Amino acid sequence: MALLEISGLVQAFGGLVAVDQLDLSVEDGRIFGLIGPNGSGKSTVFNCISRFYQPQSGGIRFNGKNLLKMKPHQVVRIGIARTFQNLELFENLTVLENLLVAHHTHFRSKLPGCALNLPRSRREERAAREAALEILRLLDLAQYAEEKVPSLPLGMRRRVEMARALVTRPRLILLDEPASGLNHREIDHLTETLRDVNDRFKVTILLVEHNMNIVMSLCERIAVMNFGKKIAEGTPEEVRSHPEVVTAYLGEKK
Amino acid sequence: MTSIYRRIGWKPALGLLLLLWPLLTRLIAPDVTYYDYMVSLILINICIAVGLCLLMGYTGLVSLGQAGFVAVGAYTAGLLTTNYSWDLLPALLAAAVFSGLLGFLLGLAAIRLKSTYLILVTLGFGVSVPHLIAMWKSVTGGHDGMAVNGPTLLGLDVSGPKKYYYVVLVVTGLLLWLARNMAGSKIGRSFQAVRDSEAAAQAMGINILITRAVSFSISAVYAGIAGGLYAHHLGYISPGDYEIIISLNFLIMVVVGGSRSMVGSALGAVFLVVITELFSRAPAGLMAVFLGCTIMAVMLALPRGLASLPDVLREWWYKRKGEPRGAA
Repeated sequence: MALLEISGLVQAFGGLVAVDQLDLSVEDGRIFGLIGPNGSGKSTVFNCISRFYQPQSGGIRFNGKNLLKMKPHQVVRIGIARTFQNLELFENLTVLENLLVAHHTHFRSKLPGCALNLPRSRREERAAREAALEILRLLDLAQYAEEKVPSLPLGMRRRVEMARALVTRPRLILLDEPASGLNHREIDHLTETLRDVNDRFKVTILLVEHNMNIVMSLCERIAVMNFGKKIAEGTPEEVRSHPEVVTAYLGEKK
Repeated sequence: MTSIYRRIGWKPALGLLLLLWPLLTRLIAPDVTYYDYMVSLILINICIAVGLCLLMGYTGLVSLGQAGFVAVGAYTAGLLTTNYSWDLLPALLAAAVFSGLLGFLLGLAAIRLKSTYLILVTLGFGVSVPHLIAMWKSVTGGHDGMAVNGPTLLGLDVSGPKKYYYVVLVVTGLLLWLARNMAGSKIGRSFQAVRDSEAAAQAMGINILITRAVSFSISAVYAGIAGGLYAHHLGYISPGDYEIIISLNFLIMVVVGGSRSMVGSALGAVFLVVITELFSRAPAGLMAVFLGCTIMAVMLALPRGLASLPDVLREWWYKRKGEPRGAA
């Protein structure tokens, strides 16, 4: 069964059609790659799923629910987490605190309980810390728990963003160019981590990425976008040899 | 000296000093209540500062109209105890609820606005409240102000400066405790998340509009309670005490102290009260000049306020000794 079902999605900005009649279906448990040249509309798709954008037409269903009826802060509650291309970490918080923010929706304590520091609120706070530290350990970040974000190198910050997304206990995680700016060693590490996350947490991954090595080695299925349209979809082998894909990436043969 | 300081920590020591303060002042100056009065005033300002710290330091929003909320609290509590003979406790609660509600509505009204415009909304609020109060003569006594009855707390007379000092101390202590709890919980984290990245905060399930409005509301509750305390502290309320310049002073105190830290904000409150007192006999306008220069100097030298002074000094010390940062 498809976990995420996008049908006829159209998102235009003024005269520019960023996403044009896109159909996409992501199966539960898969690692699904969404690739395409710069400006082909991949991040726009993410922002529609995250509900930062309101598409002009089309539908997005997640696990049978109509996503387009939801507000940006409700998306995580049904199990969708994401990372950002340009990193959106909470810069003045420590790594651990960043993860604790992601625990927000799992707290049952409300403002009065927190203000009065009631036993339940304290209990939940302890449990949240435990859960966050556990995820930091799994992603080899435990020793940075008390560091502030700006003191970490880029690769580490990308891992923190991924850890933060995992704390929300997602069923689907949207990764927006997780490898950009990373060196070879970090990229190998990332590939391993993604496979591990997919395996261990049973998280479906929708991956936007420019690094073809990662996409080809990780994804079971790949969709290719160009100028807002889907031009191909299939297994890595099928996509690699697809004539339109070759043209989109390498240009027309003269 | 150092070892005692280390062993006890400064917070319990300060708490003990504050607890014994009226007794100490009685020993030193038996007939003078000035020192009790001044420390009460500092504590009341600390309540406002801590509320502003949550709003400005944690949520990253600026209020240019905080004195408006203080005025709402002062008149709500003052009118209830004086005209309706309410006890101080329910009067303070009413002040908290009313100003908190106004703060929430102001926060909500600003839903469509970027934070820059929100500042202007608070400015409008701060400018109009004292004038509204002045115009509503039949109830508030207009510009002349009105006398406020000596307060009773749970039936006990608490109108003397020493007795009232303890009321202020307990309320301030309670508000500080609540603020600390909120700051260290998911509430404080959601404030900071909204401040650092709206997109990520939303992706983590935080409703940024409600969070902003709640933060506004909390700072207004703190200001409102402080206003209620202030009305009975002075025994008199008049709109002139809540003019827009007072709002600016509140803003300055938090920024000078360091809005990111509660201790810093509280230090700012001490600073403001002491400066106001020192300049009370100086020519008019001199204090404004001094505060204006102070905020410029602090912004240039210590952008994170006085609270960051130890960090800055430590950094400077290591740099001078040529050692790497944090080597010790």
